[in-house]
Formats: sequence, structure tokens, C-alpha cells
Amino acid sequence: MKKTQVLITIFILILIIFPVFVTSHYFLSTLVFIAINSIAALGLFLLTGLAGQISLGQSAFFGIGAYVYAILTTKFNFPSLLTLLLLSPLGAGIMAAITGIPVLRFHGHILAVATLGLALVMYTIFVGMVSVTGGHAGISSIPHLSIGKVELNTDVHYYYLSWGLILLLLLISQNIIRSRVGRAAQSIHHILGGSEEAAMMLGINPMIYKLQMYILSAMYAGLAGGVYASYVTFVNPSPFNVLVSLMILVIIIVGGIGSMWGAVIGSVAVFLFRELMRFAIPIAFPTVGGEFEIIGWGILLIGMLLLAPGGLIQLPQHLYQKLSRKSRYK
Amino acid sequence: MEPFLKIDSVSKDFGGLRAVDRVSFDIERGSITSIIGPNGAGKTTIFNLITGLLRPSEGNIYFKNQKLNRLPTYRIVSMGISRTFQNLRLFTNLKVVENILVGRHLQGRANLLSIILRVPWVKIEERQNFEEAIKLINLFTLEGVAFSLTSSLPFGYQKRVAIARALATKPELLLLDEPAGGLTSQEIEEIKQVLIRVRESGVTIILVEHRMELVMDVSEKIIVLHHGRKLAEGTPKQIQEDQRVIDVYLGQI
Amino acid sequence: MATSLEAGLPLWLSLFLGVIIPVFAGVITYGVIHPVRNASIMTLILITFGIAFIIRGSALLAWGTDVRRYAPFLEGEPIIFFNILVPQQGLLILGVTMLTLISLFFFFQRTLSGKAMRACAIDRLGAQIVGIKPEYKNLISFIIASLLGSIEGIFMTPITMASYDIGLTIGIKAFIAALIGGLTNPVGVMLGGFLIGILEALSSGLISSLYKTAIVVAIFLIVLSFRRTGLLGEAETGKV
Repeated sequence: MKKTQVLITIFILILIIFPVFVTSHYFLSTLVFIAINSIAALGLFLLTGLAGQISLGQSAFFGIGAYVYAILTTKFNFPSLLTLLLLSPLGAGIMAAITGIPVLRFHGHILAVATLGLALVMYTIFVGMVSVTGGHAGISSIPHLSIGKVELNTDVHYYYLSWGLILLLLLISQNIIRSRVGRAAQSIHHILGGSEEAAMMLGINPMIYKLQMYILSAMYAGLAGGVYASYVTFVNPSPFNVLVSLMILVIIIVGGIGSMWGAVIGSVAVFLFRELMRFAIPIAFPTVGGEFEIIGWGILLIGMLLLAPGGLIQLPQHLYQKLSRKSRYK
Repeated sequence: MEPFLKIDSVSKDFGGLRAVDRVSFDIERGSITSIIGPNGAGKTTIFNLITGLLRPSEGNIYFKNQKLNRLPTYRIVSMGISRTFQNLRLFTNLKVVENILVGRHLQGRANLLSIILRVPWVKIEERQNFEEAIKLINLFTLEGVAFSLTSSLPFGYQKRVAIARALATKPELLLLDEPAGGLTSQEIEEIKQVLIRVRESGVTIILVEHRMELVMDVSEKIIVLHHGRKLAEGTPKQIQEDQRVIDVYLGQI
Repeated sequence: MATSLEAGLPLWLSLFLGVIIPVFAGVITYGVIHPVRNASIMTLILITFGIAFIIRGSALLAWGTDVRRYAPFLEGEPIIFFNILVPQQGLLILGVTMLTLISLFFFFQRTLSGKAMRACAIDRLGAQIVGIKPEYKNLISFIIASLLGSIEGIFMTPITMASYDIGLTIGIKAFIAALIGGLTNPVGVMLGGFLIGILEALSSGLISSLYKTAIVVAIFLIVLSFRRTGLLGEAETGKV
């Protein structure tokens, strides 16, 4: 435990002083996006990693958060701080509450398809309700976040905002994991070893905890969406399509589905992988356009699942076990 | 006065198969009762019916005068009934102490909001949970493995964790499904002592069991099931001398 | 299929290639899944997504983003059927579908191999005890699935055109159709397919082609809420 705490403290210190040394727009904005993705991925971790409910619907909640912020601040002049911190997550949460009740009765592949269907429907609504969302053209001139009189309009501002938020959420998530609620959620994770029947026999109503995790994860994604909208100042449906949901799932798998830090590690790893592909593919296949990188994602996904199912966070332990000469009981 | 637990002419059909056929019996508060019978006689089905994992096709089940038939399992548990499973169903993704802490779920009040806001009583409640869990760990001599994952434990230990977890719910009625299954005679002796202590603390116990050493020594009443029907009911001595039971169990005791 | 036709290859060869290559892909999918076939549902689903990505990317690589099509197999005047215009290709599709349905039905209900597959689906352990090898059956099911997919693609292209990204939407709808109809019953799956097709067409016409997806999903949720195993499916037998 001590070692982890030291690592985390070092990590936070590096985070704090980083912008002093690195001022390039490219680097800082990349880090902002990594943090935003981590928030959405952390939400998914609570639902899928902790409670074991597979969901391919995060893109929908991400989008709702973004559009709520966009619409309320541009068309109704809501204060940006209130909207971002409260109303974006709330909007996503409400949608989760409504869709969760029918959908969470399913398990496994049916649940996956159902959440995928919801994400698809949400995307269709983003595109279709042109009067509200602006359709494919989207909404522009979205105001940046302002705290009191201070407007956050630089990369550095958003760097501290987004990383501050993800650290806060990690803290909150840790509290939840180690609590009565967290234990109840883990007890029903039937893939990793929980059992809904055993949990019921201890007085737990599985539906309540599935729903709570579902709503919570949606709120995380909604918050991420709000930050995204206020940073980029422009939203249209394309960052909220179904493939994005899949990407978020890839992030927690690559990072490690057993730990909340997997969300952050996964976001960084996925970003690095994307850069690698952007660099390597034109060399290997000079005539090919952008979407070709999807093959890389396929290979990454399959590679991780087959070779290192515990994700990157398990990698040191995994390698240690493989290389260790001591025979073990298991 | 109404009995603590009343099984009233309960039947359960699975398609064409009648697993439980108009079974009736009463359980007195504070007693230890065993349900025995050959495999397939319907014993575990009765447990499933009492705890709400299955609904009776006919008949009624009453606990403290309340009808249990249509209630969901977690409601039944909150009324004071707890149970272990034949195949344990421990949470293998959690450590021993965490398994027991899940058992304390109903004794707690902490909810998502209070946890996120770090309200002070949450911490106090957690500490209390921990102390109670330690008591159970001591009762079942699990101190050495308290922080191990349950999947790495020998079977005898896992059995103890399962019973400890069920006890953590502070039940008034404890249903144990084959607690002695797979245990050595030594371990069965230990379980017997634990059961007596548990009963002394006021918990009513029903066992489904095959190991007669445990059944005959510890039960006040034995109910014999066969092909889903109640064959006999009585004290251990009466059952041992009952010709029908001897016929059915020929060579099995 | 389009490529080989354009290259001037005769129809029968193109048909053959159009079928054999997807089946080959199916076999490869089986090869990837086989080592981890006992892993969790989540892992399996994600692996198939991974493969889908790779195929999609390869399709992009091979054919770019163009849309391709070729002429329908039956040229000629559309037939008028109760005041509705039905293109001849449509009749061909109907015919092929019926034929496929009947052969599948026959396969699953009458042949030993088909019954063995159903046995695996219902109770894997029991099937192994009587000597059935589920791994082999898995392979066959992948082959059949890719076979059917390729047939569908071949016959649909003259009407809907082919491009690299039609896979995702069709895949999702196919899966939903199968779940609605009942995964364990081929008739049910067909029924589901018909239902979805009709639903889409109706909502396209009556409401808006945009919301047809939403309606399909809504119906999916409603049907599955009432009947967990789909309209015609059988429940899996659990432990008694």
C-alpha cells in the first residue's frame, strides 16, 4: 500500500508542475482530452469493472452532457459553472434512470445489444432533432467555463480543470469501492466471481445497485461531455457515435478492468497507440486514408484480451508470475 | 400461538415433475431441525421455496405469521431468514473479511449519497461493521486467512466463511444446506460446536444434511423427505426406529 | 463479388468467391475465439468486435470508400402484386430466403449434425457426455453463419449497394432480430428478421427514416421485457 501511495503522490506532483515546462498547445490539449476520456472511462469502470454490467452506451451519456451544456449556455444563457458541474451530469443521470430500469434486467450479450441500441438511438436523436441540436451542423460559439469572474479560456486552465476533476473523481470512486455500496456492487459481478443469488440471500436487491452504478457512470460521462463542450466550444454528433462507446470500453480493458486507475492508464495508452498508428501506417500503407486505423484497434483489442486480459495495470504482476521460478499453489 | 415457520401443504412442480408434494411441517422458535432424505427428495427445493428463489406451485409458507410466497428473496432475508448454499457461492472476487462484510449489508445504512459526501457516521458504521466481522472471524477461527481471497482457501475453510457470512445478517432463522458435506469427522465436530453456540444465541436452525453423525447428535427434530413427500417426522430416536425410514434408507445410514 | 464481376470473371466464379471468402473469414474468427472460448461473455463479445474492426479496416483497404454495385440477377419489368411494385430481384430474394429457411429447418430438426448442435446449445456438458464435440459444432456454426451472411450480401447488393461500412448497422439489426425471434429457433430468427424488416419499412414510410432505428430498438426492449428468450425461443435448462 505504501508503495502505491508514493507513486500516486509523485504522479500528482508531476501533474501539477507539468505545464510549467510544457507549453505547447498540442501537448496540453492532448492531455485535456486524455483527462476527459478518463472521466468517461472511470464511469464505465464503476458499471462494468465493479458491478459487471456490460454497457456500450457511454457515448450517449457523453453526448447528452455535451449537448446539455451547449444548449443551456447558448440558447438559455444558463451560468456555465452550474450547468457543467450539475446539469450536464444530471441530464445524463436522468436519461440513465429512465433507460436503466428496462435495460438492466438483461445480462450478458443481450444487455450489450440493448445498451448499444440505446447509444444508436441517442446518436440518431442528436442528428435528427435539428431544431434542438443543430443536426450535423451542431452548435457553435459555446462559452468556455467561467468560475465567478474568471473565464477559463486557455489550455492551461483546462488542463488543471480536467485533471483536477479526474483526480477528485478517482478519490470519490475509491470511497465508493471500499464502502457498503461498493461491496454490494462487487457481490453481484457474476463474471468475476460474484453471485446475484448469494447477494440476494444477504438482503441485497441487485437491481438497485445495478441502477445506481448505471446512473453514476452516466453522470461521470455527462460531466466529461460538459467539459468537452466547454473546451472545444463546438458540438456536433460525430464525437458521440457508437464507436466511441466501444473505444471507452477498449480504454478500460487496455488499462485494466480490475482497477479504477485502468481508466487513466488506458486513456494514455490508447492515445499513444493512436499516435503510433498515425505515424506507422502511412509508412507501411502509403495509399490509405484515415479510417484504416480501425484495424489497429481490432488487433489491439484482440491482443489484449488474449494475452493480457487483466490490462496494462496487471502487466507487472503478470510478467512477474510468468518469470518467477517459485512454484505456486494455483 | 402460531409456529415460527409454517410450511403448509406446499408443492412445487417443474414442468411434469413434482419435486415437492404437499409437504407440511412446523418449526419451533429456538429449535434445531434436520431435513434428511435420499438425493432428489426435494430438500434443497424446500430451502429455495422458503427463501424465495422459487415460488410454490401450491400451498403457503408463513414466517412469524407473514406469508412468504410471493416476496422477493431480499425481502425475505430482511425479515430474518438466512441461508447457505450447497455449492457455497462465495464471492470469489472478494476477500474473506469482505465476504463477511457483505453479509453485514442489512445492518448498515450507508448509501451512495452519504458515501460520496463523506458524512461522518459512515466511517463509524464501517468501523462497527469491521468489529462485528472480526467477531465472526474469531468464532470460526478464520483469523489467519481473513485477508485472503476465498478462492485460495481449502474447502473446510470456505465452508466456515459461508456460514459466517450467513450469520453476519443476524438472522432469526438460519437454513444450512449440507454444512457437513465434504468435511472430515474432526471438522464436523467443530461445526457441531458452532451450531450449538449459534442456537444458544437465539437463532433457530434448520439443516439439510446427509451426514448422520451431525444429524443425530444435534437435532431435536428430524423430517424425512422421499420423492418430494414427507415420509416421517420425529425425534432422532423415533426416526431411527421408524420402519418406513429404514426401508427407504436401506444401507444408506 | 462486385470486384470480381467488374474484373470480368464469370458469374459462377464470382458467386463462388463471394461466398468462400466470407466463410474463410468465419473460420479465422473461429480460430481466434477457440482458445478463449470459455472466457466470459464480455471477452467474447469484444473479440468479435475486434475482428469486425479488422474486417472493416481490411475492406477499407481493399476497396476504399466507394460504393459498389452490380446489376440484379433478373432483369426485367417489376411485377405488380396487389398494386405494389415488386422488382424481380425482390422475388429472387424472397425465394432464396424461403429456400434457406427450409434447408436450415431441415438441418436442425432432421439431420444428426443439426440436432447435435441444438444439443450443445441446450446443455453443453450433457452433449459432451454423449460424445458430441462442441468445438467441432462451434466451427460449423461459424461456417453456417458466414455462409448465410455472404448469401445475404450477394443478393442484397443489387438493391442496396455495397460499401465497407454497411456491416455494423446490418450486424446490429441482425442480432436484434435474432434476439427478438428467439436465438434457439431458426424459424423464430427468420420471424424476427421479417418483423424488423417490415417495421423498418413501415416506420420509414409513415414516420421518418431517421427514427426507424429508434423504433426497432424500442420494440426490441419491449419484446424482450416480456419474453426473455424471444418470441419463439426455448428457455435454457438450468440446474433443477
